[in-house]
This record gives sequence, C-alpha cells and structure tokens, in this order.
Amino acid sequence: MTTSVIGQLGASNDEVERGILPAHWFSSEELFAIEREKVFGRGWMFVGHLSEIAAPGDFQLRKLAGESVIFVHGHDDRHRVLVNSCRHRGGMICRSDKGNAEHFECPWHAWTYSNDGALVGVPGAVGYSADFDKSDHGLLEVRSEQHAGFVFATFDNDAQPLHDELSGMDWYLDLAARRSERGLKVVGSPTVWTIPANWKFAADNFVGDTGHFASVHGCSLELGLYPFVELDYFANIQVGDGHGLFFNGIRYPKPGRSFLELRGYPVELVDSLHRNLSEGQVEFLDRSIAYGATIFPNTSFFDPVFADLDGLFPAGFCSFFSIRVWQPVSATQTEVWSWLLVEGEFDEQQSASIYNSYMRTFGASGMLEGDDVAAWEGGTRTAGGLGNRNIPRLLIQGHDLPVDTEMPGPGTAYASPNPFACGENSQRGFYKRWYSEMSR
Amino acid sequence: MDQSMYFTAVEFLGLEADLLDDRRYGEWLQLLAPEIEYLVPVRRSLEGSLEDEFDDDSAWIRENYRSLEARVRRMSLPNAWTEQPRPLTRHFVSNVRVAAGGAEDTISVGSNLLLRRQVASGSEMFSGKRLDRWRRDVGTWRLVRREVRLDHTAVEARNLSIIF
Repeated sequence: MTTSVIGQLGASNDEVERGILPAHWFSSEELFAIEREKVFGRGWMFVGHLSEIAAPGDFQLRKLAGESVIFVHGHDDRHRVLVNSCRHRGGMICRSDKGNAEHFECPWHAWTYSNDGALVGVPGAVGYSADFDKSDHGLLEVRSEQHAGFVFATFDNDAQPLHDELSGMDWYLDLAARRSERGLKVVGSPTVWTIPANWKFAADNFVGDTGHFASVHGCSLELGLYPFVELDYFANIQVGDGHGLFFNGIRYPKPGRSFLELRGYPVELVDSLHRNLSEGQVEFLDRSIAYGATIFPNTSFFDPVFADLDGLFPAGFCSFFSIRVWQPVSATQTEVWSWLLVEGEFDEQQSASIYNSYMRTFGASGMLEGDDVAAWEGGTRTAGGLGNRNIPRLLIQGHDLPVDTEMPGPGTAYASPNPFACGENSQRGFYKRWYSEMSR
Repeated sequence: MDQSMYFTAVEFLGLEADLLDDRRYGEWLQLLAPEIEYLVPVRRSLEGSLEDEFDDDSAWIRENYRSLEARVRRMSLPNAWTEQPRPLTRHFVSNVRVAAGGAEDTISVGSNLLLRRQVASGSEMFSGKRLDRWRRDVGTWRLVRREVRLDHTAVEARNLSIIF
C-alpha cells in the first residue's frame, strides 16, 4: 500500500467501512489524477453493444475513460477495441463517429491499417531500416470481453476476466440481456453530454441510492410519469466488489399487482422471458417498477417502467433498458454516454415510443435525469470548500438493518417499506472498492 | 415571396422568443397546432460526408402536444430542480427565410438560433438552425412542425431542459 496515497485519501479503513467519507473525494484534481491510473486504468468499462457493429467493417468511435478508441467489427469477424492512435506519431486515424471501413488511413503520413488493426501500408517503408517490421506496429488493441453482447474493455491485462468481475451482476444484467430471443438492439446512437459533477455521484446513485427518488424526482410523481401504485418494498442490494443495485417495488406475491403487465411486452417477448429467465428473475421483474445497477467503476444500467406519452401502450406505461457510462473528464466534470436498447419483439412504432419514454425521462432532456444532475452538481460544488474540509459525507445508513432474505437474486439486500430508510449499504460497498483500488 | 409574409414571420418568431424567455410557457403552448411535431435530432459527424448527418432513430428531444404539455407543466413546478432558481434564457433568432409550405395555408420558415442560458452555477450557449412549418389559423399562425438542428454532436450542457 502506498502510504502517501492513504494520506491523500484522508480516511482510514474503518471510516470507509462506516461510511464516513471526506468531502475532497468529490472535488480534488490530485485524487482524480490518481483515479485515472488506479481506478480507470484497471477497471472493466462498457464500450458498446455488438448490435452496433453488426456487419464486418462496421465501427463506432467510442471513449474508454476518456481515451478515443475504435469499436470495430473486423474483416475476420472478430470484434475489437483499438486505441485511436497511429503507431507512427500518434495521429488520430479515425475522426468519424461511426461508419464502415476496410481500412483506416492516418492523414499525417498515410500509415494505413486494416480494420483488424494490422499495419498494412507505410508509404515511406523503403526509408526504414531492414529490421522495421510492420507487424510490430499495429494499432494497440485494448483487452475486451463481452457478456451477452455487451462489450467491456480494460486497460489492465492482469485484471480478472470480465466473467469473474461480473459474478453476481451477470444475473441482473441478464434480466434484460437474456429475456429476448430476438435480441436487444441499440436504438440510434448513444447520446453524449457533459455534466458538472464528480463521476462518483452518478455511479453511486445507481449502485444503490434508493432513497433519492421521492425527493429528487418528486415532480415526476406529480406529473404522472411514474405509475401510481402502492409500493411497499424499497431495497439496496450489495453484490460485492463495489457493484450493487437500487430497487423500487413490492413484496411478493401481491394479488392483482403485476408490474410485468405494465411493461407492455408483446406475447412473444413474455413467452421468451419465461423460457430464458429463471423463476427468480421473473419474480424480480414482476415485483419491480424501477431497478438499476452500477458495475464498478463507472457503468450503470436500469430497466424501469415509465409513462408512455404517445398513448401507444394500452397500460399507458412501458419499460425501457438503458446502459450508461460516466466518463471522467475532471474531478468536477463528467461526460455521460447513454444508450437505449430495445428488444426485437417490438415493432418499429413501439420501439420509437419506448425510445420516447426513455428520452423524456432520462437522457439530457429527461424530466428526471436533469434533477439528478442538479443534486450531483450541488454535491460537487460544495466538496472543495474550506469549510467542507470539516464536513464528512455520510453514507452511514443501514448498519443495523437486517439482511432481507426475500430477494431472489445474488448479493445482500436491505429493505424497508420507507423509501428513505432502506440503507446505504451498497453505496458503502462502492466506496470500499474504490478505496481499496486507490490504495493498492 | 410576399414581403408581408416575411414580416409576419419575423414578428411571430420575435413574439415566440419573448414568450419563451419570459417563461410564459402556457401561452407558448397556445401557439402550437394540436398535431405538433417537435424534434431535436442527434447529429453525427461522419468523415467524408459534406451532408448534415442525423440519426434516424435517436433524438435529444422528440415531442407531441401531450408530451410538450408535460414538459411545460414540469418547468413551473417548485420541485423541478433544474428550474430552481429559474434559468435565464435569451433566444437570438436571425436569418429568417420564408417559403410557401406546400400545403395550402402553410409556410416554411427557417431561422438561425443562438440560445444562451444562464443558471446559478454557470452558462451555456447553443447554436442551431430551426426548420419550421406553420399553418394559418383564425387570426393567428400555429406551429405544426419544428426541427432544431443543433450545431453540436456531443452537447456540453448540464441538461436539455429547454425549449429551443
């Protein structure tokens, strides 16, 4: 352990366990520089979905912890994440948001790469020494692995396999990733916007901040955007290794109360869901009006039910699945990348209305997302103040809550009928993982 | 092109901008046709393309009358935190161009928009082109369709809780 970093972190193991966090974690550019290496240099981060690069040659320009990378389907049918940097002088070889290409040519000196990353053309080859070998200078491939079409990448070649990192979380990602036999498909492109907040507020919001909903999103209840039903079960679920979920819903069973119906799934999708998900997974979906998750460090996803203002779905509501990445820009700025995916069992019109339901609640113009950002911005603005050096941030709720045994999925759930009182356990877990990465 | 049509368009756009900047959203809604389509598409940057490129399927904002009503209603609620304290907007509308709309009693109106928003913690600036279709109604005009083509791919704004 590097003792100087521990000193900079300004909190003991015990304080982090208890959930007493220093304010400067959310404002310090010095800590941000360390995060860059120790958190983003090691973590698995979502890059894209295979449906976005369906045909050979398809590519999307993406960012991995802020670094420009090419997410590409090679001519050899392999999918790769390639650093967008020419091996000659670091020229940016791809400047298009997306496209289809057999080759990428650097504008600087015309070094040319095949879409599998191999260097195939160097106009000045004759000027190099005999030992110059093109095969030594292909585009750098970033280690990437996928789970059910969701591709993650890491800069750390020694990181545990994605499968092991996701252990526990795969059950929850599969609720969406495996329910459709026709498969999930990204609608359009991810939207990208920059919020004036520390990335960790966003990540910990989805890892288990069940308590913020009624207060931050109170106006959405008034607007009828959220189905008005009696919810009596609010939980945070700590999955381990910094991963976790928030959950809004009901205890089970509840006669006459099925949230699965509110999702507006066509019969074909309902049948597929029952075939491909476990009983426990079906129960989880049926009990929840909104659940969401964070995969440490900065990938979140959620699968809520919200109003359909197009009036297409009979219940007046539908559900949508969004995955997002909180790209670090600075200690006080985060670039959000947000995707919306829809199951192939929906027709075009339904897919458009599902997109609308998502876009009107979340995304840059979302009637809920903006309010989240307003809260996170506030927390970021106060964090660097001289007085705030003496005001620790408290994630101390839930130490004495009993473990709830009624949740069918992996991890440890803490629940309450009071949405403000179901504990901050998985948020503590997130910062415990963060602290452990920062200090090793 | 009828010169009086141009002046009508400029005056109408000026009125609309004032309503929006004064946050008189209820009155702004009354300028809309019931069949209003309001779209802010997502712009893509594609190498080798000299055309405007937009996603077909995704959008920053894509609204009908009912969803605009919800947005407008939200912006007046005391617990819509993006609106507390109220952001100050200034719509700068210029480069107005008018053409016959194709259908009877409709006109196409193009305008450039520079929009500045000041919030408690900072300011943002948006630039774009608005492509409108208006229909004449008794004594007034109604906005039938607006497409706002922003000069941004990624948006550097804390939110798009805004009417362009």
